[in-house]
Amino acid sequence: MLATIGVESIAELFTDIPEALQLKEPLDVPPALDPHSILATLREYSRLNRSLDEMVSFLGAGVYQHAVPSAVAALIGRGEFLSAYTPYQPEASQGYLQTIYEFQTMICELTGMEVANASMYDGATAAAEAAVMAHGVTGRDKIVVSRALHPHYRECIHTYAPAVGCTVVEALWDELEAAIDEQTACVVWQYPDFFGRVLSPSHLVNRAKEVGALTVCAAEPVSLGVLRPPGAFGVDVVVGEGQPLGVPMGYGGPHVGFFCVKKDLVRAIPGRIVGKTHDKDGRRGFVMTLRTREQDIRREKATSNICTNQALMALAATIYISLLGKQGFREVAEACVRNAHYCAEQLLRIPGVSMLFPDDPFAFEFGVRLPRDAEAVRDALLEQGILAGLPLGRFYDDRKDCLLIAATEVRTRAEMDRFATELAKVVN
Amino acid sequence: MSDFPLIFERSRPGRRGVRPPACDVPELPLGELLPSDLLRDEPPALPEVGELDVVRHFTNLSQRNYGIDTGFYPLGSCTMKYNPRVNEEAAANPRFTQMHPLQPDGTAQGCLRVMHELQSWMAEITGFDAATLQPPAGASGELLCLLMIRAYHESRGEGEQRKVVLVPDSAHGTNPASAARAGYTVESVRTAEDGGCDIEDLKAKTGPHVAAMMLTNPTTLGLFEKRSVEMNEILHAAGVQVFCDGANMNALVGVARPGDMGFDCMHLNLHKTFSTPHGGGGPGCGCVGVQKHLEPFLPAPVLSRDGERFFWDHDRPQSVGRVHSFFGNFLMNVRAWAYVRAYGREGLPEIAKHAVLNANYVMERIRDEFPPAYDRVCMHECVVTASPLKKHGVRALDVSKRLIDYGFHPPTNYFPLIVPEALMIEPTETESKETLDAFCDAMLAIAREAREEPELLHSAPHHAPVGRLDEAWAARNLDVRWSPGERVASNAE
Repeated sequence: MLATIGVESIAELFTDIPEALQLKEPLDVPPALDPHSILATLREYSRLNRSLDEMVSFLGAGVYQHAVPSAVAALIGRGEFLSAYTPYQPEASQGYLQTIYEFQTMICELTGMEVANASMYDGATAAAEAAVMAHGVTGRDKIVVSRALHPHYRECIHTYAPAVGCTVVEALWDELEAAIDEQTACVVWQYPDFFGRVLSPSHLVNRAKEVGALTVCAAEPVSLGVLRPPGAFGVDVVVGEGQPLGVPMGYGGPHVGFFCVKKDLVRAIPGRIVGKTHDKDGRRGFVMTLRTREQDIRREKATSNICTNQALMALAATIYISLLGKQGFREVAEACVRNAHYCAEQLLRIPGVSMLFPDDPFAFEFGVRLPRDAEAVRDALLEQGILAGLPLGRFYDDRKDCLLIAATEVRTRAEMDRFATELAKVVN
Repeated sequence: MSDFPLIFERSRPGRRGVRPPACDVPELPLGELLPSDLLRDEPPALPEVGELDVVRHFTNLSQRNYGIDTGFYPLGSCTMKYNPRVNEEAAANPRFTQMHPLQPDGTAQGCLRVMHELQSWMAEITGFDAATLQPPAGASGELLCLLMIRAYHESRGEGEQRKVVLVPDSAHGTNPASAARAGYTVESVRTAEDGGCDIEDLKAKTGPHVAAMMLTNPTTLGLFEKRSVEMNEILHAAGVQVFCDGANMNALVGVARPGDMGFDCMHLNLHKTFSTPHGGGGPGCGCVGVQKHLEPFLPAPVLSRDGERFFWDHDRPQSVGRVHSFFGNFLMNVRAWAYVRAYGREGLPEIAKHAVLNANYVMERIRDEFPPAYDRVCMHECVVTASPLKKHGVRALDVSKRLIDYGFHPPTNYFPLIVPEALMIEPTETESKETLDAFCDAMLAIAREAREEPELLHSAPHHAPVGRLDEAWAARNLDVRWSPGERVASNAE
């Protein structure tokens, strides 16, 4: 090979790099390991973890433990999927392109929207992208955000939106409508909200329409198996986290964001979109479309800088939804709702435990007030093999005694009964 | 030949796949648990198919897709190297996959240890003082770097005056797009005759109004930017921060470090240089390295250690904030960790050396038909042009489509924008000489076909699941979702 190139050594190929910049000593990283030892070392590290398989978990807050059919991992592990890249050459990428078209369809069905893109990084950045998109569409600078939107989603909006000249205004749910005015680009809320409440957004949609602001709803997809979809309320943009759709929790990633709009906003949408077309013989095929929105063509005028998204995780979601199907998906959503209500009922029998929002309906997550510090309660229950949920003190100063609790379809009656028994011991 | 059915077209009423866990609490009607006006009227129109239907559907779809595991994938700028299977096994460990990101730190010490080691290795490999693994992709890392630079200038009272970001005319589209997202105006810097930066143009455009320059090194032309140290001095003298786009780190790993060249920050694509799978367009993983002066602005929380205990430090008052829901794509970190350990300190430079050797070999073998855009030694990829074929009416796109018939994934075409009829070929270090020769033979054969039978190229591909697709039609007749009631595929049983 060197002879073909016409050099005598590989070093000659590096002469463009000034001598002074070339490393003289090996890097300070550990020596090489064989594959067996790599796996052994990582297994040893992993034993320092306590996974949700080893506890009975009631932790949710945006990431949920669900039963994932074995076929999901087997299918996304196929090399043709795993080792491909963005389908720039559609004729060599029909497999992926079709699965993305199917994913877009499923997300539209769940959210009640007309158009979904090929995926985003995750729920938080999808929400932030929606805020920036609303700024671009309306030419307005004020982003109104519900305080009951996931705190991390709000943090991401605070990272993204001010950089393009927006001001972010947070308001309590009850005060959200009043915060929407003629300067508002969009209002962003969550459904079910961070506390698991299911609240009608009709008043927000009406108010936003009056003043020409966009509505952005961050929705949890599994609950949309039974809940009225945001699209049915007339929402303009629906975003969310697709992790509950068969994607491993994986200590926070990779997950998959989704992003849907009404048809009139399709040219403002960030990221890839796959559309149907045909070849010269009339055979159906799929391609990335509306490409002139994107960074590699439009550069600084692009709708977003996003390039790589989360195609493999979107594929996992597509397979998960297919495996459960119309009926199974509904059954999962129903089981989550029933388990959470059963769980709440048991916990509320404990003296001193009350609902954080006693008057509001909830889906499969709810907040409780405890008679003592929630972190201390969480830590005490860990000793009993129970991960009790998320203490809310870090996110809300006035809620140090509150715990956010989720119960999905994987929890059993016996586990929830034990949770109530152990919680009763710890709080009293 | 009939169309390949959609999963929806395989649906039959009442059919079902996998059963969810049985619910053992009282099955109250949902109307008793939730207000009826907040419940769905109609269930979503999801497919009704058996498990085997699903497995076959997606298995057959996978066979309509080309991956590195299928064959050679020299997609320039994307570093399509082999994704070692050991990484997949490591990341599939339930003690990693079944970890919730909001667990107490004390129960996640294994994850934190993996991340802490990886972030320190990344800082060492790139020559920076600190690193974060939070950005979920390369473009996210770029944006993060610019936001940190912005916060840095603001902390020095220069936020108002510095509103411009310089980007070479050869840059990836993500660079100007990220700059716009960080609130900056973009100015383009010209490429000189030798493929490097035009220093005079750079000097003319640098000044106290400039916040940052974004420089890919090696550049998107596959060339080492020989003047990068000089450029960084010019830029620093004017108070400009310099971001290194690490898309092409595969040419440098173990050989040289951007941190030593005077860059202030950089991003890495772990899915390029560090072998995590591209997954059909993600997940990526966009590690970022910074020098000391940018460290206070890193996204919160920052992974720290106290003796043997690792913890998330949320108390970061100068942080630019969060760029991901949680801590980034952790399971990709596990894979990158395994990759670094597989090569180790002695092995890492071999990655760059063989990547550069392979790229130069391909460039040399095809140069008579596809001359290099800049006639000098290239780094890990070569940018060549299909311009000589234009007189036969053949374009870079036709060459690419014909390569599919020969069993290869096409290179990147029409990028960088400054090279006419560009074909950007990145073989990576994981390919054998035999594979490279087969690819070069195909390229030369296609050049012959271009002269003798150009129609063969215009109508390519001929041996793919579909012929050349009408992309313009797709944009004019937007159909981005299946609708219930649409035609049922003709081959449905």
